[in-house]
Amino acid sequence: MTKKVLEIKDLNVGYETYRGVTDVIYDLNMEVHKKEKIGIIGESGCGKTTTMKTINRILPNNAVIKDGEVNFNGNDVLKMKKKELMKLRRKNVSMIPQDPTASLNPLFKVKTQMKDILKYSKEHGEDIDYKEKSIELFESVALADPERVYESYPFQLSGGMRQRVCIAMSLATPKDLMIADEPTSNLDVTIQNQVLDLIGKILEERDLSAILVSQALGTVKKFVDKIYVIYAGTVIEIAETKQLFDNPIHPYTVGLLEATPKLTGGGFSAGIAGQTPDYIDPPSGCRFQPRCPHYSNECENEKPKMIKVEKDHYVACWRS
Amino acid sequence: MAENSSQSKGNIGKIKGFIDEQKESPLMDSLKRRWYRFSKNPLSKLGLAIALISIFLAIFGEYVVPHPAHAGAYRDYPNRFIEPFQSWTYPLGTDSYGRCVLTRTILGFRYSIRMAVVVLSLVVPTGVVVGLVAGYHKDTWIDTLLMRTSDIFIAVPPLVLALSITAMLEPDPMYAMLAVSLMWWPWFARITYNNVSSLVNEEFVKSAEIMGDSKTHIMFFELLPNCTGPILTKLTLDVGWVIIIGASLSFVGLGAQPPTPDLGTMVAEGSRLLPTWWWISIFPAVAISFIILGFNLLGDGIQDAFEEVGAGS
Amino acid sequence: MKKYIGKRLFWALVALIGLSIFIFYFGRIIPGDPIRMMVSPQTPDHVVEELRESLALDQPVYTQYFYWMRNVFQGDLGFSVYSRRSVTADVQQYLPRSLELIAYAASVQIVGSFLLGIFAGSNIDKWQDHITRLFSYIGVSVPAFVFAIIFQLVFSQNLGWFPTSGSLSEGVATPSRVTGFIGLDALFSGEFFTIGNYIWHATLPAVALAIPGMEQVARMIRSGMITINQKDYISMARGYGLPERTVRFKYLLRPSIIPGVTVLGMQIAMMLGNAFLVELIFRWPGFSRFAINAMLRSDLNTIVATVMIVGIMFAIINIVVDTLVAYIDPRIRYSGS
Repeated sequence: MTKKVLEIKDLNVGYETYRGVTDVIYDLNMEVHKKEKIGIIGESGCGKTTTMKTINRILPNNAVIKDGEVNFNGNDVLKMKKKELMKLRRKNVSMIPQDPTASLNPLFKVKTQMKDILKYSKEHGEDIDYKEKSIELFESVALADPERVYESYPFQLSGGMRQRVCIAMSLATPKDLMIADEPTSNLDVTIQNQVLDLIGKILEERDLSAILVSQALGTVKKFVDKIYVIYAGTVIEIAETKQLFDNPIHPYTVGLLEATPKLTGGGFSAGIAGQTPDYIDPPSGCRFQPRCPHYSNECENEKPKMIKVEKDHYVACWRS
Repeated sequence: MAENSSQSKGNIGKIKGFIDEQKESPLMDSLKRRWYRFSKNPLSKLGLAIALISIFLAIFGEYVVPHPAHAGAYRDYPNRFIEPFQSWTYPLGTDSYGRCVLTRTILGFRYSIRMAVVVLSLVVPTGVVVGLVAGYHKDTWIDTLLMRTSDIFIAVPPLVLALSITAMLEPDPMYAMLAVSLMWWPWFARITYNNVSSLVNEEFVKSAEIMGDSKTHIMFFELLPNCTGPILTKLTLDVGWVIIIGASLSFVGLGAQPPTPDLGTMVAEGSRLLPTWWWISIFPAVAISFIILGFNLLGDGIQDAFEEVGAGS
Repeated sequence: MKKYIGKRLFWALVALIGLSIFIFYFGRIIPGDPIRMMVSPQTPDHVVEELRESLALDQPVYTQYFYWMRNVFQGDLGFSVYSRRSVTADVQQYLPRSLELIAYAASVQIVGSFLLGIFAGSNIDKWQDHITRLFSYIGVSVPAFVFAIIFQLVFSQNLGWFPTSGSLSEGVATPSRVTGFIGLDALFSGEFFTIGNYIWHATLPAVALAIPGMEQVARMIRSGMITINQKDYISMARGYGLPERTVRFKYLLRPSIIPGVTVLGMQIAMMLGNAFLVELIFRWPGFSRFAINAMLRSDLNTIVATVMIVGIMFAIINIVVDTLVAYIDPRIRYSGS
């Protein structure tokens, strides 16, 4: 087995809100091996972004990490000192944000932001030509007119261009792990495929480990080796991509796959009744039980364990 | 929550028309939420308490003071300039006429609060209606006319215009209130305008128009309820501002005249007796600050309660 | 950018003209005879009528307004009943000292509010934050004139650190008039002791003027820092591995101060109003003190002149602030052109 790049163990994260502290991430476990490409799918509001932000510790101030470990190359990120954390962010983890518009500082030119990232990455030495390096990066993400982009403010660029700038920023130094958190959900449909192809190309060229988060199953399918299905802050099914699509076991996964809109199919997809739970007072036992079509008493009593159903296919459900 | 809830793309439940089950009515829930945000900061509750005490003293002042007769031109020369904290009869001492400073300070609450109440009850409806009409008719001549007219009255800091206008009239608290009102309504017009003009292109307004609702209905029942938070916050914070302006006018002699127990007038009179008889001016000054502090804390609490920014995070 | 400022200037001018019409009419429609107030009670009727005619006060109000406007553009603000000379002369004599005081107070306020705001905003929910919050509540709750009285009581009468009143000590000669600004004139003639003495006198009134608004601006900067700190672009900047001080003092600070700068204009404007009381208390020989005394004697021409002068100053401050905000925020700068 190859080396583990990332290992998340029994992670529990919540947020302070007006009604108390929520329980968003609930005993979440995950592993990413070297060069492995992982897909994470789940509805919005089920803790995907929170998990991703925990990996390089950029959670908002009101987030509470209650418990767990996030081991990156064997070191626990949650226990890291400032210096190690800086190194992790600069050299190890790159992040492609969900909303490129909100992720670029509106008051500074792309040039200024790019320069600082290059400067503090400490990868390229003191006397690099920031402009040259930036334009090289911009060209690598197929940005048209990189000179103009370099001199622009973010608001002068289109959504797709902003996302390319963000990708270029995240690639400023060679990294071990790339996290792409719904990188296309805020883009125009026409741009989405271009950006996805770009990310696919980068993954192919650079031999990175990667986590690709998405609500749209179609987008992950193309790129990833293995898929984690997350519901309400906990992993409920893990499988190789093909296995998951061929043989989904957890009722939630089944529902998600059915809910995917098919361009060829007619009418609405089936979907799953209900909504993600209230994280102040989450359902006991299996968090999916209130929405589950196959509910039985034991679902409410205890959280189901991860069970191996076939090679590289695990499920947390009492039915299996 | 962790994810942006406005992304309804993945909210599969909604497609089939499932409604989120709520244990309580939405109104109760929203009131509870507002109260939670308000009460999270103990200072907000302190502000509420001070504001209630001030209003109580303004209404029932003469029933709680030790010497109600000292309100007016009462004279008791043998007992003048008694120092504070020396006797129970005159806890805060007496002034140059032998009147109880505590009594006069408490009675002064009425003039300060009355100033704020009169001014705001003239100014808020006027300003809000102007702002609503102008905001709803954004970028038309009505907008330009109303908002540019209101600009005239805020082209000068409020205290300067209030001083100038009252100076041209007789010194009288009634004129002071009118003068302050004249230059205060534009602030409410502005805050309403800013909120309304950002809402006016929203779906709910468009759909109300398509449904054939009258303009008045849309303005008062669709748009106005969405501006309550900022208006209420400004209103509470402005109680303090109006009281400061009122006290400043009285301080220079353009408001209530002696022997009225007006706090600003008392500070002005007492300031001539500084530093020897400091208590005559300092206690009324503390009282002014006390009232203003209370309404400022309360206003901040209301702002917290209505603040939607970062509500989930 | 130019278009943006040009538009601001145009509407400021419209508002000022509106204001002049309003205040001029208001002064003429109130009961009372301005001529009778100018002359002694014994003046015979025919002299009064002659004076009225010569001052065009027998004409309709709009004619009077146009005469007044014409005179203003020729530098004549009318006759002051209070000082018994041209208002223009009073303005020339007193205004520079008020402007110097305001400039001093504004500098204290700007420096103080930024330091306090950043201090609190960088230490949210720690003691530094609580102290600043306490200051800010005192700042908003205590009227400027109360600050002035207390400062005078404590720092000049009790402790004797500062003079009680006036702008120069006895025996310190006013420098020969070049600009009318004492500080500048003293600088030109190299009288540094005079400058020091002047600043010493101005400190208490300036601080009394600066304090109320200072806290407000500091709070705006603090809450700006909290809001911006939650933005994605700040967590992303941290995620790229930028050092905390670069994130905080560059990427976080610049967007955070925008609301503070916006209210700074309002606060300096408020200072223009409070100067009337503070100059009175410290007997600062400035225009505001002169104006308030003229107001108390219902001196119409001085009142109108005062409103217009403060209005113009207010408009300039607002335009400077708008320009500053546009300079900080490129989105505003580029949307105008």
